Amino acid sequence: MSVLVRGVERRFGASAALRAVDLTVAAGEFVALLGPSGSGKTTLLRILAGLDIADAGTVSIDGEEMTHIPARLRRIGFVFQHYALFRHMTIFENVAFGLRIRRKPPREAEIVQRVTGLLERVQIAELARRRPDQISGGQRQRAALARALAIEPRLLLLDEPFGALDAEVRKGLRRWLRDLHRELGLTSLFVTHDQEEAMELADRVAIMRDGQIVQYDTPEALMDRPINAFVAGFLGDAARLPAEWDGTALHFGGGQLPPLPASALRLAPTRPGPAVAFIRPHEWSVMVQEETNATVRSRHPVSRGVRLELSIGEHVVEVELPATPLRPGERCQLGATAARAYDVG
Amino acid sequence: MVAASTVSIARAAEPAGQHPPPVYRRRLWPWPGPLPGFGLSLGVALLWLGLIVLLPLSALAARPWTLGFQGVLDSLSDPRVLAALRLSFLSALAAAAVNVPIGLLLAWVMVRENFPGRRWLDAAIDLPFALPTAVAGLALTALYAPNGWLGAPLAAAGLKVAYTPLGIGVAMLFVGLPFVVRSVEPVLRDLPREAEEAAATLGADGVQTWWRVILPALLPALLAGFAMAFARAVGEYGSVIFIAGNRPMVSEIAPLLIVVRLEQFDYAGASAVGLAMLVLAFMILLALNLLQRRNRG
Amino acid sequence: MRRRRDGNRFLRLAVLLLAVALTCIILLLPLAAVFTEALRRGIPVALQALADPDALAAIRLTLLVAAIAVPVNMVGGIAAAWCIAKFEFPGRRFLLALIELPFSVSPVISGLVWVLLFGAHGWFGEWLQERDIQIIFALPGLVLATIFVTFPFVARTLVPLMQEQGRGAEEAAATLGAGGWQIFRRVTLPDIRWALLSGVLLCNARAMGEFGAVSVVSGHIRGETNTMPLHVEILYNEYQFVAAFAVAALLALLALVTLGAKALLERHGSSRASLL
Repeated sequence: MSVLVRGVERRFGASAALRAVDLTVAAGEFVALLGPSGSGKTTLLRILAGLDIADAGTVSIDGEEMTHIPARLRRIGFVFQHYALFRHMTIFENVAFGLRIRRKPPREAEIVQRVTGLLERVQIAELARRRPDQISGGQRQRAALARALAIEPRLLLLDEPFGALDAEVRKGLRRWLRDLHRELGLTSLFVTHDQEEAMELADRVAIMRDGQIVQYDTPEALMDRPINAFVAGFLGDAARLPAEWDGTALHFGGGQLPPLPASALRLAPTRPGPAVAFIRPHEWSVMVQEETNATVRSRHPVSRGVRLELSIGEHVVEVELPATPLRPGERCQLGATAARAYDVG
Repeated sequence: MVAASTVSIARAAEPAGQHPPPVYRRRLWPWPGPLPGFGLSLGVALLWLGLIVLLPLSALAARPWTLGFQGVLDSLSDPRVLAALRLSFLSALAAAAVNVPIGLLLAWVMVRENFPGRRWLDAAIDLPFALPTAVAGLALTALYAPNGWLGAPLAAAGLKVAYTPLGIGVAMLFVGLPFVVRSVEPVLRDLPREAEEAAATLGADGVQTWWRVILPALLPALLAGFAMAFARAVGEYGSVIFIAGNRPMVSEIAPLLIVVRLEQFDYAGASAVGLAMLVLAFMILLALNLLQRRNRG
Repeated sequence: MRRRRDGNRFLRLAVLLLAVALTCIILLLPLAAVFTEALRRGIPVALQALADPDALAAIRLTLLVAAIAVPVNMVGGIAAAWCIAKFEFPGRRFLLALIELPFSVSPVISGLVWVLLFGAHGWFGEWLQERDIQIIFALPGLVLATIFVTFPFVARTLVPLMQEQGRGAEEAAATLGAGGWQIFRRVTLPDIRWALLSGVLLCNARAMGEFGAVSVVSGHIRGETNTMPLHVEILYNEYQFVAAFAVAALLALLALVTLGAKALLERHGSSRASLL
């Protein structure tokens, strides 16, 4: 159930959707492909499923090379973004489909038993006799999952599984999917553009951009040590500020923010010169005092406390604090307590 | 170096971050998709289309030239041919033009009004399309003949319809009407009401809204409907042949001339007229298509 | 503002009445005329005209031609719609344009082309005469002309519907292990069956009612190569008006039944299969 992707390329006309992609997924892992739209994540997923063929490179599953094997023979479960349930069949028949079309289908009693078991596991057993257009989006998603699991796949692929659902349903399903994965131990890959989702669910996350995997690591490692400015900007809701690195301290452009010593940097640039710094909302200190360098533009409550939008010089940053008396229009002294900085140019 | 047309096998002990240069699979044909059955369905479709469409039409395209280029010109410049072509094309254009406002009216009523019997009106609009052409021809003749239900009052008013070019126009009107209606209907249905409401809030009255907001949005569909009605009418035979007088030079349509020449075993002459009809119609349709595209942009 | 609203309502009513009047005059009166003329001398006379041996032969021939042409076009139409809607390949649009072709071609030309191929002086004329095979002025010619004229109907009804339905369900079936026929039979066909039936109905109506194309290849041999529409013409030219209208009325009934069945099918299926 391990997956090995080497050197996969895919072009559509003049543009390259995937460029020399390497990926290794260990058995039982839950991996997320995360990135902005157009980064190639869905293309990679479809190539893994056999719904598309790479122009170059190889795909192996459990050591077996799969590159030229059609989707039908791969025994890979695929959950589509818009479910792709069979409109004219009941949910039961949808889930049973993969079993019925086998060359030697199992006996009817066994089919009923397997399908009912799966429906119970995804908690939609009572919807067995309904049609897809009679149930909600979240229920359809679970039906699609049950259908994919019915063929006892060795790999499960999910294409933006919760993309078409609203926030509440999404959160609940997320939790449920994670529990299900723990229970089944099935190697799974899912595509998403929602970083919170990827961080919450995956054992490892592959950040993709422009057809390449930029960084592939555990969520903790990604958050702690983003490999470059793109990843740092993509994750963690950070403010992006131009700066100058002189080897010992980071000087921020504009001069209003006090410089940051090397000891406070989580990641430092490799050489002196122009740099870009990323500072997360909780990595600021805000003080009410005589000397001020920033103005409060807006404030709104969040579950953790208060979020302030501050303008300093020509930059606008977001700061999260447990509490503060500051209101819009007032001034304060802003300083960074930590940052990740990268070379520029 | 691995040959370009073979597949590279996964090498386990590859240092991280490096991999061999990409091995491109040579593709003669872009991959059509993951679903099975491409070869079979394309094969059947091509065979069917090739035998039923391309083969016969190539025979039509080739046959006139057995007369030689000058021969074709001579055959086509026969005054009878020119009269027939003129009659067919002008009548079809006129009939299609009259169909535009009528079709627009019907489409408007179908989409914007809810009234008892709307479904019957809907079915009636499809009638010229479903009715066999000979039946339509017969019916129209009976209706507009000097002793017919409509022909009698018109004759009293001094208007002869049956057996004249006017009768040809009426028949062409009948067969072309559904095209305009069905072309406009979906566009009208999808027309956002908010656009008209916005115009009202900005001070436009009914006529202005119609002229400046609704009509321009419908123009491409109207043009498309006009084109289709014209294309159908210009080649129409069965509906027209009964009500037309079929007098050469006066009320003889081009398709009839083709039949006449065929009966005289003048295959080349018949196909010359046929080819001329196709080419002329194609040019007119192309012009309309370009007009429509410019309008849409 | 009450005056404006009343004026508006009056205008709308006037427009509606105008539309209904136009529909009656242009579309419905001809239909009424057919039945009126057919029944002018009473029902027995009309039925007698239909029982005439030549008329019966024409009816039989019409049914036979349709029975051959429609299934052929159904298979071809399904194949064309499948490859156009479910795959990407260069020349797809050309294929679509090819399918639209008979709609822009005069029925007479649709018959002419077969004469050019298989007629006495056609491309294959001599070849056929040597083998004593008769295509023009015989059943095969009628069938070929009918096939040409009616082949777009099934494809045109299916292609937009299948394109709208997309490939997702079929791809899902492929990942679940289904082969080609299984996918078509279990996933695609159930989704298109109402549209398919609608297309077949239209194809049949046109096949039975075709006049121009069939007239050219027929030879008008009474009792042998006359379909119903051709028989109508012969009767009319011989001034047997009631008989002509009687057969025409039968054809008109066919048209009405087709329209009615199509309306019923539309109520069943969700998407509207356009006649155009």
